[in-house]
Amino acid sequence: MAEVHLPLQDSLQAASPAVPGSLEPRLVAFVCRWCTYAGADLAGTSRMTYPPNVRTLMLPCTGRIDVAFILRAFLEGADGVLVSGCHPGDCHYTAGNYRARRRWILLRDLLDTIGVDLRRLQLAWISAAEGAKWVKTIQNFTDEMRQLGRYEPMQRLAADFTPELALADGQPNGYAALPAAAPVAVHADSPLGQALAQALQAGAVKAILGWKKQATLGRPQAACIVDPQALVELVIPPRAGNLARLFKHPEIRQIQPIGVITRRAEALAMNVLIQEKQLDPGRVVAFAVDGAGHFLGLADPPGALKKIEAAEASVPPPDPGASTTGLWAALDRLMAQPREERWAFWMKQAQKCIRCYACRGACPLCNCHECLMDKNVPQWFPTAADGPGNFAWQLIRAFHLAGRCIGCGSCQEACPAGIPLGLLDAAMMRSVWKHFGYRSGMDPAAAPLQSDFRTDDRAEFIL
Amino acid sequence: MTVLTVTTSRPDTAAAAARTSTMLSRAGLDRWLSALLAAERRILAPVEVAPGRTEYRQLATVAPAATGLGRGLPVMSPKQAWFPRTEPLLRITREGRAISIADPNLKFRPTIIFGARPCDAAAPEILAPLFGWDSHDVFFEQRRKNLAFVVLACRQPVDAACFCTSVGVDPTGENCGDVLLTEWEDGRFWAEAHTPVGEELLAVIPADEAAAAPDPAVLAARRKQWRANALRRFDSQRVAGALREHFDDPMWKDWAAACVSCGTCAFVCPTCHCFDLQEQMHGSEGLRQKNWDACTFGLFTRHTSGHNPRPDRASRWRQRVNHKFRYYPEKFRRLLCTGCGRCIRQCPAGLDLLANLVALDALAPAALSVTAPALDRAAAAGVAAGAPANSPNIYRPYLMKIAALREEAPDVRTLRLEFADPDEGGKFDFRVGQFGLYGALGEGESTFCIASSPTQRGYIECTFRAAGRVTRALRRLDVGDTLGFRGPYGNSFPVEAWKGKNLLFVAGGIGLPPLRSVLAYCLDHRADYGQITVVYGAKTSADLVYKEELATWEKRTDMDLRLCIDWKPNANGRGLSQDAAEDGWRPINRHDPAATQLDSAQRRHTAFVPQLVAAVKPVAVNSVAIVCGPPVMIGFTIQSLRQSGFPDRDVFTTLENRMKCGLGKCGRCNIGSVYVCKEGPVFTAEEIQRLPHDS
Repeated sequence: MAEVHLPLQDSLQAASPAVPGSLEPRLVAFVCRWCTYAGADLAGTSRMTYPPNVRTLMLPCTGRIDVAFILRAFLEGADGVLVSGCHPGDCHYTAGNYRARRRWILLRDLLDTIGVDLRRLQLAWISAAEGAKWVKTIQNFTDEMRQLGRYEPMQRLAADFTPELALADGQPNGYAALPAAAPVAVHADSPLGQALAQALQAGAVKAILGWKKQATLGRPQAACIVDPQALVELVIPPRAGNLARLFKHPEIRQIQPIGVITRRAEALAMNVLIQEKQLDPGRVVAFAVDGAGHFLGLADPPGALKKIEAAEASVPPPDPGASTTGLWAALDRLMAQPREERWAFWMKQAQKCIRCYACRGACPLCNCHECLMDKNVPQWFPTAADGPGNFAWQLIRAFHLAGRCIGCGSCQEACPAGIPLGLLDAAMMRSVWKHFGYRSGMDPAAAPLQSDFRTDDRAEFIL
Repeated sequence: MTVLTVTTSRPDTAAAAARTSTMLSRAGLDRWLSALLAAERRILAPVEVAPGRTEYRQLATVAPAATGLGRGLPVMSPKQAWFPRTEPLLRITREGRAISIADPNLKFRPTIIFGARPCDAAAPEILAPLFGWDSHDVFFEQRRKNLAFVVLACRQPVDAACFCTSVGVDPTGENCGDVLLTEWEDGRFWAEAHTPVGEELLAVIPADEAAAAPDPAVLAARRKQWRANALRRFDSQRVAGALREHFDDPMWKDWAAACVSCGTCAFVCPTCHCFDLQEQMHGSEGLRQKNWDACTFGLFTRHTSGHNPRPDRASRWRQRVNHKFRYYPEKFRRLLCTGCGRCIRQCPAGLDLLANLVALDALAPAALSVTAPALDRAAAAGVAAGAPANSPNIYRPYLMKIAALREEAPDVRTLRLEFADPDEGGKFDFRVGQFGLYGALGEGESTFCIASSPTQRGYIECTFRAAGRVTRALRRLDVGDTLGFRGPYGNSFPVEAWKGKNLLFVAGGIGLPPLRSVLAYCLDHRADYGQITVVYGAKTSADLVYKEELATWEKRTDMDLRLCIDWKPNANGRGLSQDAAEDGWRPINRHDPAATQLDSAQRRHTAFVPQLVAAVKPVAVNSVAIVCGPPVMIGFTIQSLRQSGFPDRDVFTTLENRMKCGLGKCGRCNIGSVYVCKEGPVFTAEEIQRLPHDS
């Protein structure tokens, strides 16, 4: 089997400081093969000189430069990371650099939210003819990093971590617990109860996805109901997870057609699944209900969302300052703090994470066949619930959900450690709205945000 | 119960160490905590961090503890005090090709868990026999030794998820912890020391705290009432009986239907102790770590090949419930549960352990059989697990140098390993069939048998296929490089009992290495055994391992070696060809293998291993068969051997479950209550029949 990971892994490890405490910055450059690498080559063959601080890693295209590479470089001790490729319009693979640019826009906002110094991540277009630009870019980046010094906070991630009961100060995490309202029972003679029974008995659906009450504490438990007699057990919780997560299970996907008791959260999540070709809208019957559990009628998932939007006050888009309560207000307060404070806040949150992956399990859209965190050839990130491992997991989770997360709050509700996961997702939702005017889950016909691009996407931050 | 090895108590309080009980006001409680903090003990206590949310926190000041006392159960157990979510086990330093290792810090700060409920305080005691099973986990044991509990009695259950009385935990904590606090009607706390450590803790209470003790009769009556407040929901004996009877029932699928395959239940649990061993390097420095793991994760038991003994949520949930209420009690005579109810409160999917247990109680057979372990055998009889003598750290490997390496087949390599320290090598001994963990230091460890014979002194050999992270890293190593070895672990083949018997070895593919050790041993003691027959097959002739030895064995007249390679498919892609798969390999009679006439001139055949076993027509009388290979081959071979008259008790095999610790602690390799790493890897076919169908 090919040892594909070796050069990258070794180079990244080479980025870690040979001399602890050395002031010389260590830089890692991820460059595309066709333009920037050729440009760097030109600089070399032209006998141009530039600082030796940079380790250059060649990849086929900026589109191949996964965000995980960048995070990994920082975790391995890089003080600055440069990503560079072909100018817009010049991509050897037509549009890899446009797609990369979308990711950079989102990544910068994510890193900014958690308080990473954005000067540490430099993005540039450098063509094969621009040997001089390569030299100038490296020169300037090295000079700037020399001024900033080693990236101490990042390098202290491991050292600052205390694996035992972490927090010493006993402060609450500043994020109100989600309200625990009582579930609403689905009566057999209610319009919803009648519609469910009729659909199941007539064979219009083979099963119903809904909620039951757990015996011991009455907590909601997702259920797949096949027997009409069991419909009496159904309840509708105001919050508590998202039924669309059940589509991660092959045995549920095999049941077609299937009925889903659909609140706004389920409708939005199913729309994303349809958009990503993970769900066939023709095989799902959505029993739309509003927040109070009133039946709004049968539809496909997009139709259900329309019914719910018509019946409930529609949710305003995630503009900054659009709401003064809840998540958005918490995000506003966070973003009003200096970068160092944001970093301190998130490091405190990352200390709490026990890596139980309840957030991943509860999320309807965290549906990778094999999670990046579970892959070990190569071992991308530490599996330990320690500083670097938790930092990587929280960022990867938020990034992989950017433009996909529908804000149902299942992750945060599931988190036994009380981490305000929703804040990171909210930051990404706002970023997605601000830069692309996009809200996930609204339009199942739209192209998924991260696999799409526009030639006029923001670019002013790229050299 | 625990011994606090602390010498920081002030001399003036040490004089008053005779105090065994006292009544404390809230203010007195605060003053006591201040005094304890001043004695430089780390104190963890429940703190209400947000409305309705209590967590254990390390106290820096006093006030939060007093306010948190009695305000609900902390969301997570204080397990990290004895089993942190990630713990360094070994420091690894790599300079070029040179590798050195060192033990991490083994000194732990004295810690008091203040205001723990009886269900939390009961947990370390439950885990002690596991972490001390034959080999001692010094990390757990040292932490526990430095741990003291100040327990707060429960007067009523926190909520309906509490079920401590059902698992034998007393909510009033009458004999629990080092100090027991009982909140009295007037808001004061009655503090009683149960241990010398508790007396030492009470001794630091400022002298002005003195109030009337509660009337013992009233206290006893109150405790009776408080116990009665916590209803007994099920009988754990009946649950264990039902678990035995209903292993294959469809209810497991229903109960686990909502499971999201996260690890929340295990991570909030005070007694869940399964862990993963992982290694990570940062530049030239690295760590081996013990990290929390959970049987509910799909990855937990998955082999590198992709095979997973517990492939679905139902089998994983069944494992969790069985482990707690049947396997662990069978093994250690303790339930692996304190009834705290956290898994029920925190499960993001709303799984309901208590409801499952109540249902199991109802399912229990009327007449309960006596708890009988699936296998009754002394674990690792006679031989303690090997470990370098200069360290108490059981996770510390021997350092080995690669003395030679040999390519066996595509991706398959044999390493000959010599001890970096010849003294250790001189003392090292093992028995045939035992295994070890081979570490590419910085990448992790992999489990293989020791493929050489104990009669070959001074070195060991292992043969492996490069498949996953560790085996690929091992493959990158060269002669002279250093790797880590832990072992020998597990039981062995009863070669002494086989003396005078005929031996039939059957192996497929990479299954020959475990048998090579036995075979080499038996050939070195050739006179002790009767006929020796070896049937070995692989997909193609290139996939046969130990080609040099096969050539030698083929020529020996005191043994009968039969090799086979797979049939090739028919030209139309359907069915198997009757032609030889390769030149020089003669097909056997596929439809009636026993009708094939074998002769000693032709030892290479086109056949599947079980067919060749039938063609060999082994004599079952006074014989044993030793079988190793892929599961499907083992299954058909056992059938073939039965037809030849071999009783299952005379068929031996070695199981290759996923392992991490090799010491019976990480909770991964078990089949039912049988830990393959300690009670295996060698089993008879008869024993395997008796194990639950969980692999």
